[in-house]
Amino acid sequence: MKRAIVLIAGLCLGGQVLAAPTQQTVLEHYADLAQAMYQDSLTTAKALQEAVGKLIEQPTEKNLGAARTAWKAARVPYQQTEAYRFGNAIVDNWEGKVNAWPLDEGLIDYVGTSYGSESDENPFYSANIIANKMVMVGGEHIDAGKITMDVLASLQEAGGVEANVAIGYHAIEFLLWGQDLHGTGSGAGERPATDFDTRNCTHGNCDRRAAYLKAATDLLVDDLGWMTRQWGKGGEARTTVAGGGDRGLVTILTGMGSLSYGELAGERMKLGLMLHDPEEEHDCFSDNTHFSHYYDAMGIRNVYTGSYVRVDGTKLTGPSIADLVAAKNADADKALRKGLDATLAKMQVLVDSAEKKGVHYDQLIGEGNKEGNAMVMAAIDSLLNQTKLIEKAVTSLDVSPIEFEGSDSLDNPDSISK
Amino acid sequence: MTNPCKLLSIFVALWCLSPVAVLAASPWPTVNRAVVNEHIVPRYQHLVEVTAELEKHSRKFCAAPDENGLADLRAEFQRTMDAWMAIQHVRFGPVELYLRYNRFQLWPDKHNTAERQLSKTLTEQDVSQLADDKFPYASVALQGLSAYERLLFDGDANFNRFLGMEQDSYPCRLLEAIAHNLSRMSADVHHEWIAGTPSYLDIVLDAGHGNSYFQSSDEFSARLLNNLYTSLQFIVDQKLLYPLGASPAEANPRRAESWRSRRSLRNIALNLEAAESLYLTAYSAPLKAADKRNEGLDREIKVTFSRALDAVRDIKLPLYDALQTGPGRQSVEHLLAVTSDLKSLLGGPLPAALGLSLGFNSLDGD
Repeated sequence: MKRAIVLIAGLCLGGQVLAAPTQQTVLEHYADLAQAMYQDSLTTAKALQEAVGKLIEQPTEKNLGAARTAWKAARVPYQQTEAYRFGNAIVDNWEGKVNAWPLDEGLIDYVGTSYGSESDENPFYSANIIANKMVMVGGEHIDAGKITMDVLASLQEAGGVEANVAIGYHAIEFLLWGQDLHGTGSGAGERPATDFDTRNCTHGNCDRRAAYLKAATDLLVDDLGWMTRQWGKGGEARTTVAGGGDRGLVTILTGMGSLSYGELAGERMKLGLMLHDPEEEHDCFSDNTHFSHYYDAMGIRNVYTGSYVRVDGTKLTGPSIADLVAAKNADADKALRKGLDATLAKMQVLVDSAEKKGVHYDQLIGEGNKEGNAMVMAAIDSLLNQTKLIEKAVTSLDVSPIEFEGSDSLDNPDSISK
Repeated sequence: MTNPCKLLSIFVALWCLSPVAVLAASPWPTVNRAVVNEHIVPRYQHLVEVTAELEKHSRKFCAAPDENGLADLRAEFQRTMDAWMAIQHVRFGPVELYLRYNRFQLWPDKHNTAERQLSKTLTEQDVSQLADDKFPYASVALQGLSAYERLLFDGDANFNRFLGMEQDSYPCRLLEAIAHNLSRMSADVHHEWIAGTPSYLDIVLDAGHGNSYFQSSDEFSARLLNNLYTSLQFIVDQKLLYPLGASPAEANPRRAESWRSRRSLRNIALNLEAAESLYLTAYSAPLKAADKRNEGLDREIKVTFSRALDAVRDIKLPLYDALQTGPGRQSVEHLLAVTSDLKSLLGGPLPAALGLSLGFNSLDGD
């Protein structure tokens, strides 16, 4: 999804900054961490690509399991990068290619009858690209005779409907797991490996399904490679933020605050809780939502404290915006650190519920599950509290005011042209 | 082609709060008291009255569902919506507790959840779900004004799901449950503002000393200013742009708020009146008191409010129909341009001149 930001920012850095790193080194290190996180996302996506290759070559349950494990591993570094999304226009304009959600999965493949066959909002609701070489809706023809990266990229947001997600982690997730037909009960998607077996094919079109999975995974690797380069030496993302002067700090805080508040606490958590709707679960096919939320929260903390543990275990640390806040207002820094830790602890509760007790996020938000609802609500409340503490950090730095715009007007500037 | 939002996005203002520029004496404690007593509480009081009537009329209708009763009930619904639109801009305080804000109204519903859940509920007809101690915990898509509207209107004027239904049919009991829920929430919100222990008013008035809700009086004023700005953002992005589309063919009138009851533009007019009243009660005087040079900005905001209200009142067709004709779209695009101007003024120069920070925005996110 494309998004732009409105930053009405002012910085009055007239005061003495004692024993704190310079703003420039903070911004450089912020870019270094981004580069490492995207590099790790790329490395783990390549591992997924390899596992998918094996699955297509030998469609066994074992290889399907290995691909699923690789997908989950790939999500670990990627979710941490989400703290870069809001604030960095280059990331926000790009992220829909890799992490668009939620999706009308009937666009891609077969679905159960409970999915329904049509939607007022989406003419491609059950277009089923895998089963149909030519997709026609209204006057639009899309030739999907051969499933390639280009074809999939052209299907993304078909008909201007955001729920038409043809590519990215969640499209791949759907192909690896299939629909979760358990509602708010226990269990994830149960796609059989034979869905990719051309000799012993289940649910038809196994060759096209395999081609789809391969193309979508290849595209993910390409897209992550592109973003990694943007954070490298001379890359656009790096030069924008590092050369942004005062506004670079606003970028960091905007990324932290907007992910905490409108996106994670709001769209991804509170809405699903209020609707008790399993389809509002971020990783609804794999039931991996607890980890997605957990690593989002960790990414926010990484960015603030300037630290990141890479997938190979190496720990990166360096000058951070926390140091700048602490130099201006030690209490605000302490409170924010505490708030970020508290959120991670609440997310850990959701992780433990899924991993230790087998009670997953979709069950926790189910109607009548008062205990589960309360656990999710506690995490949301912690995110809201953290947002206020980020606002205080903003004030402490005399960066004021922050205003952030996430709107259809900016997503789609053409929509209001005459 | 002019894109007001694009213009706004490149508007980056730098300003510094030097100690001299800080207001001599903070106006906010006095202003906050006035805003609560004169702006917020009376609006909730009115909501209490109309939702009580809606509940009464829902029961009366369901005892004998006939055509006259339906017309009468639709009129009550319109009055209720009027009252909600006059206070829809306030998103915190007691209305934020227990998910009440979303239980009053779930909109927009981008994933079509209400449609799915309502049709499931009407098929299953589980009466126990409607019990007083259960219904408030049901999906918010079933609990509030949007669900009530779906039951009462279908978009086609001649539709009447209740005609010929027996007394106490399931759809009617759901209607009663929603009305009761709305009435109870309104009473609770109103009560908590003025009479809780402590009341939310007490908390606001005490903000100057710092409490667990607010560290200072400014913080309440700033949150309310955020809500004022958000109400304009809500109008521009969701109430207007979301259904508009790039052309008549691409318009999606069903994305308009309250399209079934054909009151989308009335909602916007009432929102604008409420926003104007909040501006006048809370921010106009402090703005001018802060610096005489702000008089121009104050005047500009007032004039833009008038232009926006004129623009919405000038559209004679329902938004649903206006979106689908050339001249209709022109008038909607004019309204969009003026409300976008207003949004820019309230989100940029106003907070800067008042020395208040807007903070993060609840409408962020997909």
